[in-house]
Amino acid sequence: MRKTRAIIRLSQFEENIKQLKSLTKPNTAFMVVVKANAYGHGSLKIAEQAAKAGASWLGVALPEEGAELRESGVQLPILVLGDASQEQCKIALQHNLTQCVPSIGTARYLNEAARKYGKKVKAHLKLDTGMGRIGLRRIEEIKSFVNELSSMDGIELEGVFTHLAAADEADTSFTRKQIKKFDDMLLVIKERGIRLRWVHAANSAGVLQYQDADYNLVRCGISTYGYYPSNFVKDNAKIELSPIMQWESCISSVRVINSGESVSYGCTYTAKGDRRVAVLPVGYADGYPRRLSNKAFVLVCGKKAPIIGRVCMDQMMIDITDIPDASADSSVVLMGEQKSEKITADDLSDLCDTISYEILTSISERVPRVYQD
Amino acid sequence: MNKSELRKHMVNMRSRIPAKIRTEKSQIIMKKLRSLQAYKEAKLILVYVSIRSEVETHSFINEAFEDGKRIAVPLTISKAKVLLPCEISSLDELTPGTWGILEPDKNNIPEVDSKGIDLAVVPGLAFDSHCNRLGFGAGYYDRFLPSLRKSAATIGICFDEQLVEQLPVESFDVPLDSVLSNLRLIQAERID
Repeated sequence: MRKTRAIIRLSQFEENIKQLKSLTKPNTAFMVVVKANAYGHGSLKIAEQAAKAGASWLGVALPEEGAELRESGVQLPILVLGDASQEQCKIALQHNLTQCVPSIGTARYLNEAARKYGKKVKAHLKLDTGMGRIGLRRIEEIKSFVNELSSMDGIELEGVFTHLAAADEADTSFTRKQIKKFDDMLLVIKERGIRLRWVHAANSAGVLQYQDADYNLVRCGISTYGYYPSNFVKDNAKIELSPIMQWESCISSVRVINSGESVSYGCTYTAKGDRRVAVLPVGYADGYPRRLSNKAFVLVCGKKAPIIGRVCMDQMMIDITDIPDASADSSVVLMGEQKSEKITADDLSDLCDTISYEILTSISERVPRVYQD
Repeated sequence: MNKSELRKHMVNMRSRIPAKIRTEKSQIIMKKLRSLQAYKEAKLILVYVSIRSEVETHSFINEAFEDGKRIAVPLTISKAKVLLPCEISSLDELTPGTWGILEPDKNNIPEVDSKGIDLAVVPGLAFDSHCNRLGFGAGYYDRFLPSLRKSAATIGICFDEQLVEQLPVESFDVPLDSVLSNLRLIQAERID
C-alpha cells in the first residue's frame, strides 16, 4: 500500500457519537449522515460502525448511495436526504430506502414506482423553512400535498423534516424563525389528521447549539467525524469532539536546493539561502488542495514544515531545513497530530477560503482508507 | 382568531416558555391535581404521556403508581381514528410511537375498558373559562370522551398562558368537567 493514506480511528468515531448523544433528550433517535462516502471517511465501514455506536438511522444524499450500503449488508433504516428522479425512485423502492419527498412531483413518481412493483415505499416529507433549496415552502402547498397524498396508497409517509441553514452562527434569530415555521407547518399537517412517527430538523449545529430543534430524531454528520460545524460552535461547545481521520504520507526523497534556485511549476518559490527540501508522494489528485501551494504546512518529526512551490498533481515539496531529523521515509502528517503539534481540516480550510467539509470530501479515491479501532 | 390561528399562536407561545419554567409550572399543576378529590377517589386514571412543550406528566405517573393508582395511557390508532386507553404498570413498558410519543406495544395492546376509568387527564393547546378544549384538530378526544362513564371526571391541564376567555366551539366539541392550570382551577357548571 502506498504511504499516503488516511487512517481512521473507529473508537474516536464512537466516542464522538456518545458525546453528541449526551446532548439529546432521552428517546431521541440518532442518525449518522454518511453521504459523500461518509464525508470522505468510507461509507461502508462507517455505516457498520455507526450501528455499533448506537445510531438507529443512516442518512445518504442519493438513492445510489443507499443502494450501495444495502448491497454491502447494511440493515439500519436509511433515509435518502435528497430528491429522487423518476429513475431513482425505483432504486429507493428496490433497496428498501426511505425516500425524501420534497414535492408532489416526486411523490407521484414514487407512488407510480410503488404501484408498478407492487410494494409500498417509506417516505419522509421535506419542508423548506428557510434553506431555499428543496421541500414544500408554503402552507397552501402542504394542504394540497396532503390532499393528494390520501389517494397515494403506494407511499407510507412516516416522517417529516426540515434543514437548518444557519444554526452554526452566533445570531440565533434565523434558526428560531425556521423552528417556528416548522412548528406551524407541523400543525397544518396534524390538523389534517396525518400522524407521523419521525420529526426531525437538527443537524450537527442544531444538536450542539439548540435544545428545541431535536424533535425525535437528530441528523449528525460533520460532528461524528470530529469537526465542529463552525468556529462559533467550537468556541461554545459543551462537548469535546476529536477528528477521527489522520491523513499521512512520508518523505520520498530529500535534496538541497541552493540559494536562488526555484521549486515546482512556474517557479513560484525561490530559495533564500540553501534549503533542505523533501518531496512527498501526494498532490492535488489525491485531494490535497492546490490552493495551499506556498501556504500550508505539514508535520514531520513533530514539527511544522512549510509547503514550498506549487502543489503538483501527485507530489509536493516541503522545506525541512529546520528539521534535521527528517529524512527519506520520515512519517509526515498532512492532517492530524504528531507529537505535540497538530493540523486540522479547519486549519487547512482557513488557509484556502473553504470549510472542513470540502477538504474531507475532496480526498480522492486514490488515497487508501485504513481503519483502526 | 379561528381555531387554526389560535393553535399556531398557542404552540408558539408554549414552546417559548423556557424548559425550566415549564418543568416548574408542571410540578405545580400536578401537585394541585393530586390534591383534588377526583384524584384521591380515582382508582383508574387515564393520563397522556407528555412530549416537548406539553405540561409534563412523567413524574405524576410515577407518583400516582406510588399512591396505589392504576394508570392507563392513550394509544392512538390512526387507521381507525380511535384512541384506546391502555393500562400500564410502568413507563418502562412504553416505546416511542407516533410523533415520538411514548406508547404501549401496538402488537400486544393492553386495552382497558373505558367505562372503568374514573379520571381522565386530558392535554390541549388551549382551554376556556367554560372548560372547552382546543386540540390539534384530529378529533381523537372528542370521539373518545363520550365513551367514559357519566360519573367519570375529565380534567384538562395546561399552563396558565393557554387559558382564554372563549374558544370557538363547534357541535362536535366535547367540553371537560374542569380545567387546571398552575394558577387556576375552573369547574364547568353542570346541568344535572
